[in-house]
Amino acid sequence: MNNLVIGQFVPGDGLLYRLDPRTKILMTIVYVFMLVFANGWTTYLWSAAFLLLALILTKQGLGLYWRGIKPILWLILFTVVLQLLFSGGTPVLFALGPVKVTAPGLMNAIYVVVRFVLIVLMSTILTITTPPTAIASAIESLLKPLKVLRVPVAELALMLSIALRFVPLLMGETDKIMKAQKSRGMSLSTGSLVKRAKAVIPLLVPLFVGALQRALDLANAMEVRGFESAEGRTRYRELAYGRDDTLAFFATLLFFLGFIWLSIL
Amino acid sequence: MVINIEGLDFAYGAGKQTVPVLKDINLTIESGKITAIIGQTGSGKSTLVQQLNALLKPTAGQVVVGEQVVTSQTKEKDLAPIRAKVGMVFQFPESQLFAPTVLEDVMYGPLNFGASQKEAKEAAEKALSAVGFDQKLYEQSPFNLSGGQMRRVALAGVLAMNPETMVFDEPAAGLDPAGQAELLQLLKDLRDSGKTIVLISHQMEQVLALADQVVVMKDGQVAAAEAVDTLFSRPKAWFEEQHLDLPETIAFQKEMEAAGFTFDHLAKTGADLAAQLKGQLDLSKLGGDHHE
Repeated sequence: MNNLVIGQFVPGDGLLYRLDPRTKILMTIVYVFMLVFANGWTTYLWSAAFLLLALILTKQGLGLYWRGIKPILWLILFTVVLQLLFSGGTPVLFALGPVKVTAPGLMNAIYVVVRFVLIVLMSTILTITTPPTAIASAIESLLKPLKVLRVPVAELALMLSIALRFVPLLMGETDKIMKAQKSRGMSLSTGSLVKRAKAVIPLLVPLFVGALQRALDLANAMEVRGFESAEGRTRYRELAYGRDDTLAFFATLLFFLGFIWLSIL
Repeated sequence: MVINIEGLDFAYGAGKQTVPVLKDINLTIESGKITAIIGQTGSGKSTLVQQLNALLKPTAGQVVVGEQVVTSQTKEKDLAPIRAKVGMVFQFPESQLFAPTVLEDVMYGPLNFGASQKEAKEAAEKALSAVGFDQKLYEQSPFNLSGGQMRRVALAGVLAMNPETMVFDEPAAGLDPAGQAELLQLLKDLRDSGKTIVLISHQMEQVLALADQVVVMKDGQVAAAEAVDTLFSRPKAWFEEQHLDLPETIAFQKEMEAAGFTFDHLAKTGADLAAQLKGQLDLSKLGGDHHE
């Protein structure tokens, strides 16, 4: 379970680590949004080049990103097969009974894979270079305008950061319970599908009971220390917008303009 | 059943990012005895005991449980017999309870290891009565019980599998003094009924009172593995080196020895200590300052 790279922060000192988390979130959103409109090999190449630049600026080894892609390889393969078989169009490259693989289908499949990989990598870059707490406070800051509509932004952000804080705890807890039940003969890898699904119960029940108990304890601990509202609290770490961020925005703007130029070309 | 650990190395993680935890461990867990494992936190105690029922497999070397050999190559499906032979009670084991009733929870282990419903029920009832659990509460949800009662159910859950060896990680942590005393008595009873007990403990008094053999872990290596009397006969400086406290009676005895008193054996209790001291104290020399 510790091999999961997506959503995990990996300490480092590349340029991207120094950017304001708000900058990184906005850049990621723009990038993913633009990819949806990618319509040919030039735009994909342009996007890939931008991603490569970002990858280099994280100063992390490529092995790390490969580990990030590996768990979703099956999902990618599945999408490829669907695209290959159900795209239709002409010319038909080869056919096996009712199953036809067409040239547009093949192109689509390739594009889907590239798009998928680019999106996953870009979001992995965001989480690898940004601690979860920084992401939470950046989201709070970005959502501030919604306060006008009475959206409880501060509370939402607090909930998000607490949830993120609980992830490693729950992972440790799962590992512990898994070992205890394995010692009592639990086996998740044998038997029919129904049997296997049932075998998870001794794992899930204690996990939920423990998580709820922890949540209650945390709520009490916060209350006895005078917690009332997340609204109007000051921060231990202030977000700071710097020169690097301006640079990053120019780079993104360049990417954006280049993308549009290539897509209408 | 003897458990032998031979030339064991263990590291967490795989590939380049490994964290070595245990280095060149050679140990024999003797059958029918209580072996205590002590050492500072982070010294590798918990990692070591998880090798005993193959929750963790050695990176190098092997663990021999009875006739079965576990190496890094042993497959997951071959481990069930070892899990049945070596029961493991983790720290705060009540967090593993899951079933709708106490009885069903305790039956979980025996059922997994191939017992019939009837056999499992018998084993569960026997185990529950061994840990002193109230029969009226068998059909209760384990989540409605007090902490002490939950601990009993969790212990019974492992006991019901009737393993030859039982490993306890800090079993008394968080129990009240009466609960602790009962638990320690249970461990002794289990040993006297022929089971092998492995016990991780931070409480030296507990180790002195219970253990036959002691393994001292330091930085992932075995610093000492010997009979309890031999261990506590070591000089005080050695314990300081391991960052271990001495039990009060032993500390007292060592101070008295340093002051010139002699003892014919290691005193395990205060009464024993007093009995050995009495003959050596010259009462006429005491109270010399009395003014008559």
